Amino acid sequence: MPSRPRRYRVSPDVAHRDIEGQTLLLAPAERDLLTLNETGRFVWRRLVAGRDVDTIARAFARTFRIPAHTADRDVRSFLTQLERRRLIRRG
Amino acid sequence: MRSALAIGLTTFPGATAALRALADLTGDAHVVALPADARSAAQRFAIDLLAERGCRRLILAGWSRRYEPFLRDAARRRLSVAAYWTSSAAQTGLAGELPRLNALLDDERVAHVWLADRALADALRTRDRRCAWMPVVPDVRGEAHRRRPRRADDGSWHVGLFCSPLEYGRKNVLVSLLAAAAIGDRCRLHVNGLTTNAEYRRVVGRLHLDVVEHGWMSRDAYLRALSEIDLGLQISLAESYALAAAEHLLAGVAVVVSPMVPAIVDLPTPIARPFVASRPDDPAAIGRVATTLLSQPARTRRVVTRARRALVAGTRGRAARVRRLFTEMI
Repeated sequence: MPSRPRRYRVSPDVAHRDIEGQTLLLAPAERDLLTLNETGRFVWRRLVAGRDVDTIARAFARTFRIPAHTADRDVRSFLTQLERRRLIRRG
Repeated sequence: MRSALAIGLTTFPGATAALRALADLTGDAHVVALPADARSAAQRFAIDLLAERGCRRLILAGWSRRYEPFLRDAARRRLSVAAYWTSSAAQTGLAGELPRLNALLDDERVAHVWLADRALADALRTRDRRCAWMPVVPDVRGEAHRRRPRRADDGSWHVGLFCSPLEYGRKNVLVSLLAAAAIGDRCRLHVNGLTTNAEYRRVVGRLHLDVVEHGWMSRDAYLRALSEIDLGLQISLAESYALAAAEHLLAGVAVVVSPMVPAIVDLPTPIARPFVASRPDDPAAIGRVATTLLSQPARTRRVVTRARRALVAGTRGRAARVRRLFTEMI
């Protein structure tokens, strides 16, 4: 059974900024600058603040008014994409 | 951290795509495509990156006054600066880009002027040693290279006419539509946003063309659309290379081109000949070249395979040149 990470942290050397309401990311190995949409920004800001995955998912469900299991799936899916791009790491 | 920061504008899709290809080839460049708004967050972020991350190279797609903050910062930090001009001489003239090319050539802060059009590069280099031919190199390892499952034969001939709305004139779209009509009733024409243009929509209606409108597509959607067609039309009036034509062949799709499409025309003559319509202003002649390819699928598969192999083989030398010029920036 695949593991379900409880916490992630931003990879070293990732450049990220909040500028005028937009969150932009660039990892050392990335080619293109990544701009997060509203839901991505929501997750990213809490990740940077050190929140664990369950806490982020519960807040996501409350804020966007979706079922808890949907929020958990969507948040984890997004975090998996960020992990694949080496923008975040487990732990 | 990659040593180069490459800046393009979303209004320069061709030049920015060429920067992405360069970044992929060298593995050593970040690419930032700036939106139209000069005060955008992406622009501020990119300037911060130059300052913060120790990039040693700045590469600019085309030329724009939007690049001034980057040039000032690069001068202050003594970074090596290159500008990549991807339009051919004919494109530059047709599109009214000459003032920008002149501004680029006048700017002594740019140490390397790369030009995708070899004839233009060679001519300018006789007077300005900063100029060098920087070839466009198709990605022969990436998505376009993978064969995708083709749709079942439905009796129609599926013909693609894919290009940016900014380029309908240079891409000779009106003649292409007339050529599609010349192909006949079996032709099903696939387009990417053309029918949102009122004038071209009227032409489509007048010609009673059967059109499949894909809208403006992501890269993945475009490659899927390529797998749905039997043939593409790329009858450009001016090109420095024509990545779109190359991508058709890489996807295993025949493409009819004008003599101004180097990606195909620069292949060995016997290999290129089946795809070239000698008169880009003659829809009937273009239609005949297309119909020959469409009506003989087995033969067409053979000539496409041969052309694809030649295209892939030709990219090795081009790729080596790209890497060399990039290395020589510092």
